[in-house]
Amino acid sequence: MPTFAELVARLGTLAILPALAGVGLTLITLVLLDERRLVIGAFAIQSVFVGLLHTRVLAAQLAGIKMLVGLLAALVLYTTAHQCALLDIAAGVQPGAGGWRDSGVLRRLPFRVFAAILAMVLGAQLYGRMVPAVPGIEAPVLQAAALLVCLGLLSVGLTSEPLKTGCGLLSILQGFGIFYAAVEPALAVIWMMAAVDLAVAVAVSYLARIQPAPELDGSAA
Amino acid sequence: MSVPLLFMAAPVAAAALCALLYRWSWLQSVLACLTVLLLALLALQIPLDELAVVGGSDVRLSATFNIFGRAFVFAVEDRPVLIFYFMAALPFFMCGLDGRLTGSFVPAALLLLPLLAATIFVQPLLFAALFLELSAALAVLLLADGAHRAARGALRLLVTVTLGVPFILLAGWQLELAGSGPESTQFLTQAGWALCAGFAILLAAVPFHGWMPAVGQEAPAVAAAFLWALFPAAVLLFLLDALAQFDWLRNTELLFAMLRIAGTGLIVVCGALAFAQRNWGRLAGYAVLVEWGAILLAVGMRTPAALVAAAALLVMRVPALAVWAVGVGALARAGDADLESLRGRAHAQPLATLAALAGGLSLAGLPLTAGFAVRWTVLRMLVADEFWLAAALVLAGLGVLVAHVRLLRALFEPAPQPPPETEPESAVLAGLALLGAGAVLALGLNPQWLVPAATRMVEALAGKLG
Repeated sequence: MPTFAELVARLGTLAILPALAGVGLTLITLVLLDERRLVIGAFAIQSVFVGLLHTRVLAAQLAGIKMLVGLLAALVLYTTAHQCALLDIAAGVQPGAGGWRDSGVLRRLPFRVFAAILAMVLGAQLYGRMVPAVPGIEAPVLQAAALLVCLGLLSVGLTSEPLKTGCGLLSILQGFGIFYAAVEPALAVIWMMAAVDLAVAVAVSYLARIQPAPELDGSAA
Repeated sequence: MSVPLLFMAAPVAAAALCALLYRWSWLQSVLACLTVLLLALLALQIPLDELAVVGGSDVRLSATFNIFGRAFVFAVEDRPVLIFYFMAALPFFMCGLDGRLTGSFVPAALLLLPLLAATIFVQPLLFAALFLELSAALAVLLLADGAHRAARGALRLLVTVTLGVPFILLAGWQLELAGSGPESTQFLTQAGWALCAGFAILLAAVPFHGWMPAVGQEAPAVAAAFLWALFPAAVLLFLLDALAQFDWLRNTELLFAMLRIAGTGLIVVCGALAFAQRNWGRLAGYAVLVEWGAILLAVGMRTPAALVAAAALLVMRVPALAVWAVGVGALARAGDADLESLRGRAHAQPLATLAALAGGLSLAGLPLTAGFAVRWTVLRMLVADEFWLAAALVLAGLGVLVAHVRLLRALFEPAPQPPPETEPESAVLAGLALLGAGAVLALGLNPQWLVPAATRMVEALAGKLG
């Protein structure tokens, strides 16, 4: 039976293009939707894809650690979102608000799609800058890193809700982490980046939990 | 025994103990005060890389602590900076002696100290950026609690720092490349740009300054003031450490130009915005930013005298912020610190009003207060080279002052009927308010009490600039 690291390494070898596509889809979910649990679910799936992409720049064990840290951060965020949802129900907010059937989300959709396309163009520009800096890295890995940074930034800019902002921030850190792991694969740095990811997840969870009233991004574009 | 580990582990242990004393906030404060005093004393006296007798046995006090291939090194020139961190925390912990701080402030603030200390210990230096990111995440626990539930300021701080840190790390990578190839000039130039971008964001240059006034409005006054005093200072001291370490960076005109532009932007924008503020927390945030602009301008002048003045401003604003926090913390306990809710409160809470005004006016740079003496020195330096910048700094100070006069008038208006509920001022609060206001005035008259300590913080870099 293969170990977890071997499994991650095998999947990483087989699935680099699907991982890029998966990262793209989860990021679009992150930008377009507001419903906390959907967004966090997308972020958890994204963490798996990011872990697979890491196998191309790090040893399989370290890539596995990156994946687990991402999933752990998602778990922290999900637990908070679940608690917040219970509070929302107690406060009379209808479940599922902010999801894809929400009229507010549908109203904002054209702008967000347009902004996401712009962010992807920016990502392509960033990718063009990254290629000569790290020549040995495969294109899909760098494309995913550029997408994570640009769409993560857009996601942070579109919301003031802590959990969604947290997902955006963690996406930026994941994108930067892929690039930085390629140029600085030191163990200390990987542990520190993992600590930063978890600290950000805990911090935004704390803020989300302490907020007084349920707040959906009605005012956001 | 590793000295850096001692300085990072001791506050963590004290924080754990304080967390257990959650119900006795005054006891937490006493313990935290004793801890930081002891650590400051140790930072001043502890021998490095020598044998010492501890508990009857010989212990080698190592200046280095290694973990995962990275080193934490306590150098002799780090002593004044470490003392500054611990002593700057002291007055904020004293604010809790009257037992009115929330139970999470003291442990979280104590946990922040080792992270700030790590920014000066860690090698390679640019990894300090990661500790700043961790500090920002931890600061969230300070800035929001059960009574202060708004999250905008804390979230902005987290976003701002997260955006800035990657640039610093990229600069570190470019520096490594510069050391290994023939194209070193190109890599150094790229590192310079990355450092400029990263530090501009972390140093709260416009438009990345928004977290400070937001925190002032939403967070407990003591927590906001604590963060204003320590977090930007840690970023600046990290920058100064980098300047002292890298010769090429000291010769990078771009960085100093960025500091001058950032300083000018803060003075102009925040001076104008301060004028219109009707909330004391936001006003203090803008006042801190105006002073921060003066500090960045002084560092941007690239002279030893200006550098010493910047460090002195950094040190002098600590007592002003602490006494402001004592006053506004008491005044805003029953509600917001905006103009409407403060109306007529001076009659019921005269000593809290005195403390808040002493701190606020010192932040505005009023003559005879701690904030004036060093700002006057910076003004004189600016007048010689760039008169209009000096004028902008004076006008920005006036903006802050006028907003304080507006608050002052509201505070001394007749109390509304029925008068709002206010707790009587305790003897501890009265003592803290009088001590703080007295300290601000005494330092205004005798800035030489703190300026030598500030000078020692930047001695290494000033020597190299000279």
